[in-house]
Amino acid sequence: MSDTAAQARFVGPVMRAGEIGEAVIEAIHEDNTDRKIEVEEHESYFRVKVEGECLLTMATVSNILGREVLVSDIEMNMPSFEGFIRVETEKMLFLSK
Amino acid sequence: MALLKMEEWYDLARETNWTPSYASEEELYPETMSEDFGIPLNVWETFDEPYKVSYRDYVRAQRDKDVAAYSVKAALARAEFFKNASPHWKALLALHFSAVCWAEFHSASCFGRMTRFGRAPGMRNMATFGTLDEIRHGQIQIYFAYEFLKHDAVFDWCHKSSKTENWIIISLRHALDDIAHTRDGTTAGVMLNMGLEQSFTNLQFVALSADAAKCGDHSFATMLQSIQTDEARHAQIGEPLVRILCENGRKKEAQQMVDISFWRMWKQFSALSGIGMDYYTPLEHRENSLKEFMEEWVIGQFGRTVEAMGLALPWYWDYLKHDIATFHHAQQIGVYVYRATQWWRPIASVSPAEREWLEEKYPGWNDTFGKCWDVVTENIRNGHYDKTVPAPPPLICNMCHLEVSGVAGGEWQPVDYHVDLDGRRYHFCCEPCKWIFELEPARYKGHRSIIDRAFDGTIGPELDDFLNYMGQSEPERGVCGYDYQWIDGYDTPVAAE
Ligand SMILES: [Fe+2]
Ligand SMILES: [Fe+2]
Repeated sequence: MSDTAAQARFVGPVMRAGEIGEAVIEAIHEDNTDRKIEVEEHESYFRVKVEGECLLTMATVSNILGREVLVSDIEMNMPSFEGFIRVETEKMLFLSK
Repeated sequence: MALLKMEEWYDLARETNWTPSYASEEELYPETMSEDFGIPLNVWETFDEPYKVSYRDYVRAQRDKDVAAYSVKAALARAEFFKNASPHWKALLALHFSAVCWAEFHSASCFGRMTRFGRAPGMRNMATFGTLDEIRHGQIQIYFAYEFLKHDAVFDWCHKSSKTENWIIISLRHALDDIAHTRDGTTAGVMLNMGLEQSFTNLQFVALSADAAKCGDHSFATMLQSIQTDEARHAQIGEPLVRILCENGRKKEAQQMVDISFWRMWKQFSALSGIGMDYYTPLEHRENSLKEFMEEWVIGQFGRTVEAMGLALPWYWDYLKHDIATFHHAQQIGVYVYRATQWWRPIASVSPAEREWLEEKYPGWNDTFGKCWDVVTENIRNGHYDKTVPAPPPLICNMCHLEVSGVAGGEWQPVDYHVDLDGRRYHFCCEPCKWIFELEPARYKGHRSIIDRAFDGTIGPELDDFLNYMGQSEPERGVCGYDYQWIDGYDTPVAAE
């Protein structure tokens, strides 16, 4: 796959509709200000799509919700995602290649 | 005392390989259970888990997931919901639970093999959590299904089905045995992950949850998504496995693993999710068609993942795009007309309004599959119920074990794919099923389809013999889920011939 194609790939989480899901959408907008972001809404889930790469930090989600949010809280509400994931204590990263 | 962050101890804790002194490496990792593809152990040890989790966090998260999914209040509401659910949704629940519950235990066994025979410590770590996840998936779904048992005996099949020789179960078992149970840990890891978990489980567990939510079956929707949150994590075992194979001269093998397993699972999900989404979900609650969900989740999301990993799209990708609009429509006809061979109560779902939806989602449906339903409809309108059940048995594919079907009516496309081997003829529904057989005939040739068994005398000649052989006592034989009343949507009956 060429670099341009990878660049155009949108990656990111698929979130269950709900409080955490909403906060994740907001956090992704904050954590990826320079990237193109699209949100696709379905009856029970949202697909968040960020061009090229998607970062989600626990600090940003925690800030939005006013309480500590851990990666396991995200996991509980994330039935799928697009891209290659990298998980650390304080962040999730979705890569396009 | 502050806890260390996972990154600060993870690499050290993961180093669980050692140099064996009491047994040889071959004894520790026998090839049949743990194929290394000629790649040295120190290369396998570079397997780095994309999705890392500590045991402590795992337990916490799983407990919380279970608390959310199993609340008592939900159980009461659920029993009430079920009593009032339409025959459409009841058929969908019966089909889902009786096909999926025991398949999850199969996945647990496959992950158990990866846990023991994975060459890389990181792979064994991920597989350990995967094994626990899959045990949970079996348990939670049996629990949810058994809540309905007092209202409907069909849910007995959530457990029972796996032990029967019912034709649909033979089909599913053959596919799972092929990709998950008769392969070494490395191959099964790639096949189960890429062919099932990263591709099709999204269809049945995320996409279908949207339909469930629209139906008001919120606990089913929640349970499905809760299960898929585990899949999203443990299915990532496939990425480093495929990358290690590709980077070490085994791209061809990795590609073949994906091409075989993906096709085997597509046929299963085409029937399961295809019939579930396009026929068993009540019309007013359908979010998307199977084709649309396939385009979103599989052709799209999974296809892009395969390419980004450095593999090619499976060679049959163009044919797949045709198959997502046809195969399940043909299977739905077979499932309805041979309804006694199902343990649940099949739904036709071809009232005038439903046909309009099918035509809109699949232009040309009325001129093709619709023509078969015209005949079924006319027979029912004329009170000829017996004529809606064909006398001859169908031709069954010797790979996917589903009906060999083409496109009917206006674009009649008959199917003829066969292989002659050792004095007998094997029939296939499509080129990819035949291709899989021809890759390794010795692996598949000894298996006898349900039709082979009818012709070789394993099953007696009467219909009763056939149904008994499949484990179906009289009340366990499918009848029309609407007792033919779906026909009321048509004009008043025409005069009988
Ligand atoms: Fe599972
Ligand atoms: Fe799984």
